[in-house]
Amino acid sequence: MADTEITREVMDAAISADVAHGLAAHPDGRGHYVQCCLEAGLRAVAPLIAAQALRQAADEIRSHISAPRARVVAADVPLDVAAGIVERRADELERGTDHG
Amino acid sequence: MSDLDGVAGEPEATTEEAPQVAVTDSPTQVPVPDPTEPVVAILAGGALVSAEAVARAFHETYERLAPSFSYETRKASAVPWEQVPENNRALMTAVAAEVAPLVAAQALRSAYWKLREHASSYRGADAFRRVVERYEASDRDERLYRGVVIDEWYARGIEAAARDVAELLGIEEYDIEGERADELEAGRG
Repeated sequence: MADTEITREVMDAAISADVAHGLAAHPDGRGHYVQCCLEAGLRAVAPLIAAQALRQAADEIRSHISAPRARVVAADVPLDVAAGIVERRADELERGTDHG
Repeated sequence: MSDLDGVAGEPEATTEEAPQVAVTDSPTQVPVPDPTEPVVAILAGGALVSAEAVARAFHETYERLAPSFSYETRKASAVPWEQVPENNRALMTAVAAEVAPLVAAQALRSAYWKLREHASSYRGADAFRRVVERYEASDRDERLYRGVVIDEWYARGIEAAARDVAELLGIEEYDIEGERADELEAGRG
């Protein structure tokens, strides 16, 4: 599964949250969002959400690096590399160069 | 995207007589976020994504994309985020708070596996295997031993970083492994 795929679970959550918060649910049980626009909107914001989460993950990984970034010691190299891998993915998502 | 017209399914033109802000019909009191505090979506491991920022991005995206779906959004909501009626903003923020963690979790799972695969491919690399083989064939050569330790240290460091990602997800590592096993099993089925 691609990391920004709008799965059925995500769509269902958006629709059910809409319905759960009232606003005169549609008689067929669906919410107020127009479904195809909702999916397109979610698809557009998903990379932003994903990138934000990945940046937090990279920060979490870097928080275990003992030395300041300019003086990364050997023991910290794998953590620095790992944070870089996660950050690069966030960059791709933010730039719209999503290679899945 | 305060597009509260009670329509779901096929897009259709908005009628002028439709109520401007259907939120007033709400049977539920929508909580209005405190504007002085960031509204965040919470994953089990910690605060991750600003739901208000996601809702705003979604609103702006929805309004921009609607015409390409031959859909005219409501006049009351086709305005900058700050001018969207407060209850509508609160609703969209609440929806974003439920949806954003699901999307964030997918990205974090993917990052977890990317790191695990990086560690695995490092261990599987010819250079790493040769160092291990040479050390095992040698008579406890100290210099070769250091090479093995450094390489193994690197792979374990990457795996530790993957565990950090798992912690953000609030999921035990073996549960993530289990999910992958289930997916593979389902794929075979």
